Amino acid sequence: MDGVLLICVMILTLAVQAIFSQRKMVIIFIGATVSVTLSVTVGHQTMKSIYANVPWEVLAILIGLGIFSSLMAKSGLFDVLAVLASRVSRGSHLLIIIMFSSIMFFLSGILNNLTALLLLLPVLISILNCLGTSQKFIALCFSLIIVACNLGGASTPIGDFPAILLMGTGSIAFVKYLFIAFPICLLLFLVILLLSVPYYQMKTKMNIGKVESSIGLSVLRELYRNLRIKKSLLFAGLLTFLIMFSLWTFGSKIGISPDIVCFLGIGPLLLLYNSEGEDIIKNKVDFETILFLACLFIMVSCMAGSGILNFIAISMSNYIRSPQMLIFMLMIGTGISTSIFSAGPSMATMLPIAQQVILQGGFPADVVLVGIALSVCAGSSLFLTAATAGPLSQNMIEKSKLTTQDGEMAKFDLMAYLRFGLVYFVIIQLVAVFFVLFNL
Amino acid sequence: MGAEHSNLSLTELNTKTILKTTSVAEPELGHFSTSLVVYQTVYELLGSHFSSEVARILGNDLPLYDEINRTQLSPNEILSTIKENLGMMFDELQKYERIIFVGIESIIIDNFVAALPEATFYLISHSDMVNKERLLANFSTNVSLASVRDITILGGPNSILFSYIFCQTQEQTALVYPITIRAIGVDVRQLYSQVIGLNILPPYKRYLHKMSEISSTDQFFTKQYQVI
Repeated sequence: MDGVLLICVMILTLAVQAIFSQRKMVIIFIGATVSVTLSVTVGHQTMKSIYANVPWEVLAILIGLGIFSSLMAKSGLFDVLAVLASRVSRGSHLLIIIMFSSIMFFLSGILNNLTALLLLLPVLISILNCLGTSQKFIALCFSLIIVACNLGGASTPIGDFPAILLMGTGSIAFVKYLFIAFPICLLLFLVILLLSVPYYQMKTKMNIGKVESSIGLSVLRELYRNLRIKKSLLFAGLLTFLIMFSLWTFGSKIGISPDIVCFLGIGPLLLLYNSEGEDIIKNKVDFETILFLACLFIMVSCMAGSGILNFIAISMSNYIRSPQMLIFMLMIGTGISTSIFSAGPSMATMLPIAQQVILQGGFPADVVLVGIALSVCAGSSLFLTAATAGPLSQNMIEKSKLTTQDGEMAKFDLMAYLRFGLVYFVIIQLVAVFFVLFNL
Repeated sequence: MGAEHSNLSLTELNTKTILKTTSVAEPELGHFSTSLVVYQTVYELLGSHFSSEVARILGNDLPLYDEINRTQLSPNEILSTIKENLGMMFDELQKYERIIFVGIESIIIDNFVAALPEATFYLISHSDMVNKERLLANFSTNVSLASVRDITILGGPNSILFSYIFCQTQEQTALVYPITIRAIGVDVRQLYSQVIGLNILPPYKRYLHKMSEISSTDQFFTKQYQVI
């Protein structure tokens, strides 16, 4: 009974926060409060057991990686990379798309999506401002950036929340995830990039003259004329990353969990760059997201404690006899729920169910869990509002007052993205499903 | 120079695109520096003859480009002239701790910052459209942005103030950034040991977009230096 109530509270909370996203923090707090009250009073759970089931280590990793991303951003490497990309493009819009989406893919695999976007988009917007652009080009370019961001995030265990959740909770080993997810995500990115080329040629090709594009590039060079890389910070960051990478890979053999690795890496780096670190902790760490996820985890913990998730998994296994169909339904369900409720809520809710399904059916956990993470990636790419990357890009374009060659204000909204989002969703979801079913 | 590109068609030159590009640069580079970048690019791409052709096409919309072209100097000659002329001031400027620029002309400020690393620089932008982070990323930590309101606080015997004068005629009328008029009043002049006008491209008289005309430069500046 309490389990049914808790699941209703969860669904209602997720739906209301998706509709009234301006008040999502209040809504999620109310949802968590109601869930805890119900669990303690009706469900006879204790606060201790509810807290015990919250994956605090995932939140610790998120904070640690957030600090690391912000510190690396201060090294200036990524601004230099972006400007270099614009120079190498020699004013070709097609090359700009290819290079920026590729940088975004690899950057999102290491840094969090928010930081990756905040680093690259201002430079990209400046480039388009200087070289000229059109509404159609903006739609293609930023859609590709968003899907590259989502795929890059899904390609490594530290790139985005779903993968961090899998690694942080010990559901999958760091290397295992990397070896399975990275090649698929890279392949998916390349396929999408290849499909974008003929679309660009047919629909959005920009015809900018040699003189105009040369002036655009010269102006850009002057605007970013003295960019410098803070080498000591960059090297310290790279060394830290290498140490963390090694410990994530081999640490489990000596009993070091991924969250401890994060502390071990970020701690000395913060000590070394304490002034920057103080500023980052005070102003750059996304505590809003951390609090949002903490509330969400509390709600999931309440549900798990009531036994409802177990019940759902057993029922699914009983009603859907074919293992292929069961996994298919789970993945599609994850993809669609992500597109509506966004990646965090969807992954946090679906993971315990997936784990139960894996347990009931004796499926290969690594393959199914990567499949679930890819489904989250597919769902994140369906609507502009489904992941952090979409609304942030939209917001940055609006604030930048980027204009097209016709003098119109650049627009990148839900409808401009939708046609691309649909294609991305279908491609990623299909590949994910085929990959998992093939390996069952 | 640029002979291999001389077959490029100038009749199809898209003025709108070029003006859009320059409008992005002007808040952070300055009007003169932006025009100089355009001139340098066209000159290197098409050569001096075509540069004059471009000046004919762009002249009305980008008058400073036209004025730069009329100097008949190559971009390198212009850059070395600027460096040489500014260099004559630097010895005298060593004694100042604070150097304040009203308006931004990157080509000038870059020379100052390189020559006077001990000084602290404050830039008061001539535009609201400036991307502060990008602008400051080009300088070391001794350069920061200030607002017009700070100009009195920054004054003192160790402070010197610079701004720009464009197209000054023999009758002393000239064009300046509107921010110069707002920032440099009688009270401000008394607070600074010197208020220097950096004279750019005299003596041509023509209307420059987004600039304000002043009837006498003497009422704003205690001293003037010719930049180019």
